[in-house]
Amino acid sequence: MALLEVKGLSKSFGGLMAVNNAGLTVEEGRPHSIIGPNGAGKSTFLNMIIGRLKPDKGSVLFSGQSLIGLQPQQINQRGVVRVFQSPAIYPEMTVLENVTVSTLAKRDGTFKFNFLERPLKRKDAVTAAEEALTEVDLIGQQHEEAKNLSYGNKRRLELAMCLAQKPRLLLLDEPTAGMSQSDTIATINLLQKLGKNGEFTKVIIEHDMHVVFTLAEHITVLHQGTVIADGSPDEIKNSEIVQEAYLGGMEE
Amino acid sequence: MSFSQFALQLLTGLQIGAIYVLVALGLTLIFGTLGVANFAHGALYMIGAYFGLVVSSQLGWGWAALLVPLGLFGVGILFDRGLLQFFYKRPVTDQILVTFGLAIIIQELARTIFGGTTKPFPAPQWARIPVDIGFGYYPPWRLVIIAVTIIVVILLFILLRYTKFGLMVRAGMRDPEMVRYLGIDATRLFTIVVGLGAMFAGVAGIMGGPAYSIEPGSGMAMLVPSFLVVVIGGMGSLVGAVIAGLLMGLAVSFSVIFVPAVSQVIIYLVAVIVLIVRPRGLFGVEGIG
Amino acid sequence: MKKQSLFARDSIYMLIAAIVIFSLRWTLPLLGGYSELATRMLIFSILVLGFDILVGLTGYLSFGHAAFWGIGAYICGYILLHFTQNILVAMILGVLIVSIIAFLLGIITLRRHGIYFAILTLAFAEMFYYLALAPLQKWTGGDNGLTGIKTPQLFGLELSGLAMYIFVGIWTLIALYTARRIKNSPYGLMLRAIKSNEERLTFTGINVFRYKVMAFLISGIFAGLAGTLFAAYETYVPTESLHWTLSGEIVIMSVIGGFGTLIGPMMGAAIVLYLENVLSAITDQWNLILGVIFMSFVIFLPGGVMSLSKQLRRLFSRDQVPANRTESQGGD
Repeated sequence: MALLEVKGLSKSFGGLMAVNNAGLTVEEGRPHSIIGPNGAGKSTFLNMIIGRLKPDKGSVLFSGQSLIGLQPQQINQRGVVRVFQSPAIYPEMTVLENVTVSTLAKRDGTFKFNFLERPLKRKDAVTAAEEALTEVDLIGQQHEEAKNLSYGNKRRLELAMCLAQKPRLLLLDEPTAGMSQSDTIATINLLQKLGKNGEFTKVIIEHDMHVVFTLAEHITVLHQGTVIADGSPDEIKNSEIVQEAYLGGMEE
Repeated sequence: MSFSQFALQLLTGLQIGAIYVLVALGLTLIFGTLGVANFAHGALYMIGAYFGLVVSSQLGWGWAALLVPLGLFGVGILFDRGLLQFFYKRPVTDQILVTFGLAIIIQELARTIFGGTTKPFPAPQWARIPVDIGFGYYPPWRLVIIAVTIIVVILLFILLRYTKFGLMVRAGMRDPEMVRYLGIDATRLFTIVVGLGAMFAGVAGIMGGPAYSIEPGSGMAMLVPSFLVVVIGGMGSLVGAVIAGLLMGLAVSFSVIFVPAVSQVIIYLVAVIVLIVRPRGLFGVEGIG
Repeated sequence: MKKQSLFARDSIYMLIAAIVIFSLRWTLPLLGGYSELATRMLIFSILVLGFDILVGLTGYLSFGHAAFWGIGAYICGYILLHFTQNILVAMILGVLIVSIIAFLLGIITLRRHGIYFAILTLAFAEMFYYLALAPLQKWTGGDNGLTGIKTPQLFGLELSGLAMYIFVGIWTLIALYTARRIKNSPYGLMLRAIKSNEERLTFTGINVFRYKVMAFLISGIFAGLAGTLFAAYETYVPTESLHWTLSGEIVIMSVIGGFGTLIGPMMGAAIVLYLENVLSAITDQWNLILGVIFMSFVIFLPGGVMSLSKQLRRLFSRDQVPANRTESQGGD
């Protein structure tokens, strides 16, 4: 069974079809990438999977179970976790607290009224948070306020927050956008390392082709809201339709 | 209830609603373009009323009708340049706090200057004695309120629809980012919008003063229902403010007849019901707030 | 090791709080206040503590907390007046009814953010005010408020003066301890996350709405508790208990003290009541002065007195701090 199976997804905003009958299949353990020029509907597509937008039509099956109609927090608790494009963190809290929120969410579920629990009781959650911070190499800054981090580190922090949730499917929205050359390389290396042993499956939305061909083993191409190609990196590279619609335009 | 009774009550409802409309229009204009929630808007209404009282008793009503709107326009510009502009980008909570603080200060200043008691504010001589309007006797001043409000609303809609300034305001209300992209001098635009908002509040004040009398608490007493009107109409919707304001006025005026016990509570009840059924307000756009 | 030191720090915190709370009645007259003012300060500090759990932690600014305080006061007063002098019965019933109302109001108002939330809470509170004024005046005494409440009793002991002060002091201590535990709990962490980035929290698998409703409820319970104590202490419930000016005063106290710090708003309450007591004796313009003080805090010291030391430190060490920290301020 595929980990994620999306079929016939459609969404229009006031007559404009943002996503039109799009679908894809993500196999467990196979890094997947969704590419397409700006305005191709990638973000809308992602937002429908995580429950931010309600699709007009279509189905989303996550390990065989439908996600349609579930609340965002329920979808997250099932293991579908998203890293946002501009770092979505808690700026006024420390780096460690940021990640502890995630581990507590993992531990306690969508709601737990543990309003008298002492800090010591959440030691496991804090330890798990520290582990995640170690993975992204931010452990040295764990007591800093998150808003004081550099842009690249903010994005790493968000990645740690998502990793700490022990996702089954990690959706990354342009993980290298806005990063410097060195940060981009570091991020690619990090992403290559993460989840390599099949702990989770990555779905990466990107328009940096270098990132995509390095990280993904399967690629879906969106163009004007529809899927125009779907296949291995080599197939995509050689696809004429993709060349025309997308890669051709990029080479100018 | 006879027809004439009904008609008179309808007029009263429109008159009460007209004041709400004027105050709410300013609130919603300022919120829509600047994104600022102005808790000092009731204070502007009160300034208009006291200013009107002073000018009309010293110089006469003609001067009051001229000076109050102009003066309040100036007050609005001062208000924006002196305070609001520093809070455009601050969190909504800070905007609420700072304008709330200003409202308290203005209210207390009014108490210091004019005393804490209710001041009688006589309407012009010709508008005091009820006249026969076909189906009953009615105070002309209340008709003036309705007429002036209609004129103001029409002028505002003309201004917004047919002038370049109006185009910019509408663009700003739809999408605040757009103002920047269009290369509009946002600072001047915002300042004028606040000035206009204050002017409407001032007009409401000089008309509402004689209708209800004034005291330092009048501002806050007007702010809460007007804000509810804005919320019910849909934050940032001008049409919504007009319709919701009139509905509120009618609700108040008819509840006095049918269910006097709840007449003071009726606006809150209406607001609660509307917002439970339709959280974004009657004409609100999804996604705001 | 760590466990011990943490426990010790908690104990010292509470011990200092207890000393301050239970000495106020005697220290205050030294500063020009009267001893009964201490009881009043403690009652208000319970109110602002609850307010801080909602507003300070989640960032949802309520302008309607007078409703919970007032309803608590009216119900407690009514029971003391007509049914029993047993203060615990009156308080329990008062708080119970307030919690039901807070829960329902939370469900309705917390669907909206920012300005909507502020207006909705304000509107509901005003609704209760006008309800108490006219339609319910048979029970509330209308304009006059509830008068002639008998001195409440605790197991036969008349609660007034010193006894009332100690009784209130114990409740203040309980409230502070609870509020602190809440703030430091995982639950409190979630509330702070709501303030910082509510949407992220939703996509981290948290049912934000339920957390908010519970925060609103807790906050209402604190306010209701304070209201019941107020009625018992004053043996009188004025209509102003439900008026928006009280909601505004709670906001003012919290801002002056510093949102989100618990101790700050308590200090803010004490400061405002103290100044009111001292200044209103010399000038009629007390409210004007309060307004000016409040505005100055919002503009110049948004963190309240609790941030004073931090601000001063920053001011004096400005030339030693490298500039690289400052640019990140507006980045979010």
